Amino acid sequence: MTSYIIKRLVLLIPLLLGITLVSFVLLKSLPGDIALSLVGERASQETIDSIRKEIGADKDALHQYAGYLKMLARGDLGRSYYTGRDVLSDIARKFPNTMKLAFAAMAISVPLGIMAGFAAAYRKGGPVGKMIDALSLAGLSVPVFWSAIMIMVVFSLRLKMFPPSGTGNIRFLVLPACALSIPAAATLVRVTRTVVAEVLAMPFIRTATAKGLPPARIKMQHVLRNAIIPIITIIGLDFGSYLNGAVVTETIFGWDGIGRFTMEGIMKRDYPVIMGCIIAGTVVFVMVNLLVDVLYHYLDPRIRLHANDK
Amino acid sequence: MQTISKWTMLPLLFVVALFIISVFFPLLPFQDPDRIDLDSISKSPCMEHPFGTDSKGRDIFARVISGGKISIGVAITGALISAVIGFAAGLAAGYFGGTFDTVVMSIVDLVLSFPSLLLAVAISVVLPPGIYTVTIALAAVGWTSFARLIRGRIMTLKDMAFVDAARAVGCSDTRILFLHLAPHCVPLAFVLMGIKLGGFLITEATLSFLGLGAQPPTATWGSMISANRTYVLNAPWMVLYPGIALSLTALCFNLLGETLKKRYSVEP
Repeated sequence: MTSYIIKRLVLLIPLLLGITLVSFVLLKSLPGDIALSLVGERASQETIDSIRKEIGADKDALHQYAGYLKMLARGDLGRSYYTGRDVLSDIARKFPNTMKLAFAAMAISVPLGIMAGFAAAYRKGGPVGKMIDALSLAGLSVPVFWSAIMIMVVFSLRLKMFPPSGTGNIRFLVLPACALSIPAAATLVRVTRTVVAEVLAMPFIRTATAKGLPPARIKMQHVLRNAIIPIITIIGLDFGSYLNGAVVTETIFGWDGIGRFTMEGIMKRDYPVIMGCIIAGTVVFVMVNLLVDVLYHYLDPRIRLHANDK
Repeated sequence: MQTISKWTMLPLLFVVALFIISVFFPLLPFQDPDRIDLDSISKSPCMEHPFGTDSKGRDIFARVISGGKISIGVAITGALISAVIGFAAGLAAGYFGGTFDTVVMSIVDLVLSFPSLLLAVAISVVLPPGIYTVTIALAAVGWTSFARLIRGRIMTLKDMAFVDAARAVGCSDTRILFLHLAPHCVPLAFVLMGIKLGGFLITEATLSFLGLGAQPPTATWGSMISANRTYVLNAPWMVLYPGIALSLTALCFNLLGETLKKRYSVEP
């Protein structure tokens, strides 16, 4: 187990090298002069030259990349072109907010999705099953940016139950978490329903029922244990992408997280911020995937993790 | 061949009808979606303006209907380009295997291991904003699932007897690939396109919402929602109707996708 985890973490290094190289090449191939757009068109040549020197744009691309890697090896992500703030500490400050939002959204979508999915599988073909089916398909079809605005209008601007935007305590968290949890819950319902229906058709469920086990026990120990793997996979994927920042939700509700930070960086072409967010995002994503793989092993001991697999 | 249920036909008809009406919109006796009328700013829904007007007095009904052309068109074009690229990549990767396969599949994994919206946003920022950029961004993310599916199908197909037979009678690699293997995968690509359309539509709308899609004054559902966001408290109809049109269309695409998924047991 330990060797497996170590091996996966070591594999992170070539992945990061590849990702930094690709994003570096892409960013450098952008049209326009970043130094010029930083100081404005009317700046004197000396100012432009000094800015160029300051951000390292006077050297050739290879030197710039090597310089960036050196900085990265020291655990430094550089400074934002616009605010001059340290990118790593900005990310470290915003990440807890993103994490709060991700956990809050999962706290709604996971129980809701699993319970509704179970209900749909147990009542397949009946009115309840059909209704859950239709609702989950509708949940997948409503875009988050629209449902977020509608939720904000109804619960914040009309009913004045929650503040419309900002970052803070749990009152600020409720609405964005609800908006974010809709598509996640819908996906989870559909996956849970399919897997549970498959498990329910297995002979061992009939055996368990025939030998007189209480239905609740069959549900928890026979059905859930056998259906858990695809469910965990979906939860892991959603969680990983939320931790990378829920761009739209964070923007609409003014939540000060990684998603909004990345979006602002991209819009302003703030290269150190974009690169920093990409690197941090990759690390987080790999960590979540690793965690999910380790969880697989504990939830289903038939799955063994070997250091020499993949 | 099973009969096609009304739950597949009705949504499909709805989308096709909406698309045709929006394409031929200028020829139909409706109001001009881009006409600014400062005498009727922010009017609530009434007989003359069934969905109300926006802050510049433009008729929202006309803008919602004509906006369908771009939103649906971009989603379909994006899906088509994704299918073509993914088809070619998956075909080659599955058939030749080896280094090429490893490289293609690593790129696929790389793209998939990244939040797709951020990637699309990044692409839309690199290129000048507009509908072509959004289409490219959709395709850049979307081709991966096609490549994966087609590659898998080719891997199973290429070990079948008819491929050996073709090789035994002296067919070249190109001939086997294009005349014997590719035709088996074309229906599969269309099925996956149907499954993915709803997602493409929503991603297009999200990019437009973020201001990276079609530029004003052209109406798309995403850009209308974004532009009218600030008036939502006093004039909710400005945001409500484009959102309903968008969600309904996405729902229709998703219903189609569900049917395709069930009938052909494709899991993207």
